[in-house]
Amino acid sequence: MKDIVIKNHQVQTKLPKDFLFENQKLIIPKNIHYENPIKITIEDDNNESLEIVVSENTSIKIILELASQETTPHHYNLMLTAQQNAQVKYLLVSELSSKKALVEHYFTAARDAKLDLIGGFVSDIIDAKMHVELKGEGAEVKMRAVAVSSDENKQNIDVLIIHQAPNTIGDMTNIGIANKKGKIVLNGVEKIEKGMKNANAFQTLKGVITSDQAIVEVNPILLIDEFDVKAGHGATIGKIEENQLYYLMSRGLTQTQAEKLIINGFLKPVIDEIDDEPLKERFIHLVNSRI
Amino acid sequence: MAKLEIKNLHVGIEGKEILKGVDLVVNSGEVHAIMGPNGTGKSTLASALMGHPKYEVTEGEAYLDGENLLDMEVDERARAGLFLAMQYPAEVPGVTNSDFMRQALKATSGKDVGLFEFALKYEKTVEELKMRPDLAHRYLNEGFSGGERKRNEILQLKVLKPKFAILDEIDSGLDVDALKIVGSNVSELVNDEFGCILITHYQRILDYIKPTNVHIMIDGKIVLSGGQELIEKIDQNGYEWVKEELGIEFVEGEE
Repeated sequence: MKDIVIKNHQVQTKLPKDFLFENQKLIIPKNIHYENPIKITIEDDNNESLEIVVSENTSIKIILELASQETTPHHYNLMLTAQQNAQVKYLLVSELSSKKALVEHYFTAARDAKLDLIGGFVSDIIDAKMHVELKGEGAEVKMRAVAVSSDENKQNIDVLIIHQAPNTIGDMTNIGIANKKGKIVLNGVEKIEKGMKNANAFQTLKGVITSDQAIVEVNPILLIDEFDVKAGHGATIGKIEENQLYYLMSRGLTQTQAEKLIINGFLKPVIDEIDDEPLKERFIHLVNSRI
Repeated sequence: MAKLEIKNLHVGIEGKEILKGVDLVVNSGEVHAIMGPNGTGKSTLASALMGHPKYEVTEGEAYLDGENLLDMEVDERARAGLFLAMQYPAEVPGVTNSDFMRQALKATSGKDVGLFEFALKYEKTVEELKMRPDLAHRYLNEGFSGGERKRNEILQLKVLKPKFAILDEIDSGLDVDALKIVGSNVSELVNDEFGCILITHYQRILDYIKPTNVHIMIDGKIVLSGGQELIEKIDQNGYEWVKEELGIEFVEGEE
């Protein structure tokens, strides 16, 4: 795996071959299949903007890590563009100690581009916007966002997918897990504009609370201005399934151990995508300290 | 030597009384078969002893080696040495069988088990139950067939080695080969440190696990206790004769 560290708007590490970085824009060359993921870390930089462009026909996996112990206000403005027929698997891990963080992340997919996006949020107080525009015909996005809150954490996650071309597919699965006095608001909005025939929009929102004071709010919204589409949405919210808890406890696990195991299982599809071992361990540790 | 004692147990679900005073003593080394028509409370007894939150004990007592089971949480009962092989075990996505079992073994034995040592032991048990070799890495019961789930329950029983196991209709939905495997694996466990309650309404499984005691439960009570001769009688005549012999009336209901 290649690491790219960005600090004070400058790349601190050697860039992989043919990568370009100028004016806070990282350009990944076209027609290349990258076997190994690249990891981009934005270090202690509380006002960063970055645009990543994945050029035509390239397939790549990118891990973007936002990490900061600073409690000052943070504002990130991020953009990912997938050009024609590019295939991008993208993982955003946000662990910000900021008491007022704003992360605005825009994604655009050109014709036939495929985006597989995962957002893992274990921040303190954050407003995160993940906005996807499917601009070209045949573009697809699969979005999975997971937020884990505890104590006084308050995370607002806005996911928006806009279908601006026909034959586009948007599929989102957003999960919020809140413990103690944690709060999570998940807004999932999918919009199909007029004339965008044969667009597919699917949403699943799940909220799990593990204490009586925790709050998870889920708002699934479909805005459709076209007849010839397929769309569906569902939202559930609740405690951990009683039957699963009972089963694990009947083998000797305490309620806390059982809950942890179940929640870790829940998050496994996301955790498995983190190829970077130290980051993976830190993410697991952080999640487990919150549940 | 261990002892499980149930005295005058009354249990209800959603306000409806199902068990109407059950008395039973099981010692290690013994296998007690509890038979009876559907809907007479056999599975309720199993769930109530394990502490399922839906069941409410309204009267009576239950002790494991003198410790009051009814005062304990579900996990405490498990750590005290009770095991329930469930009729419909839950699926837990994302949790592998081996992660779960290693943690459960640590909880019930109170000892840390090395990964390597555990893996060897687990694999051996998987073979003994003739299950798929990748079982350790599969998610707990997710996508398992009915038979695989039942075998997985017995596998957990073999790994955890409790003092007492209640097998709740472990035979239903099993084909003859699976029944043999489950039967012989359970039979081998029975010794001075392990006793078992078998809940069933078929006698087939009893060809492979020989009970020392047989009880017939009807309408929330054990109405008749004896030895293996009762099995044959049920085999030939169903439960109708119990009505006449004991002069009780019952209607077969839904489990």
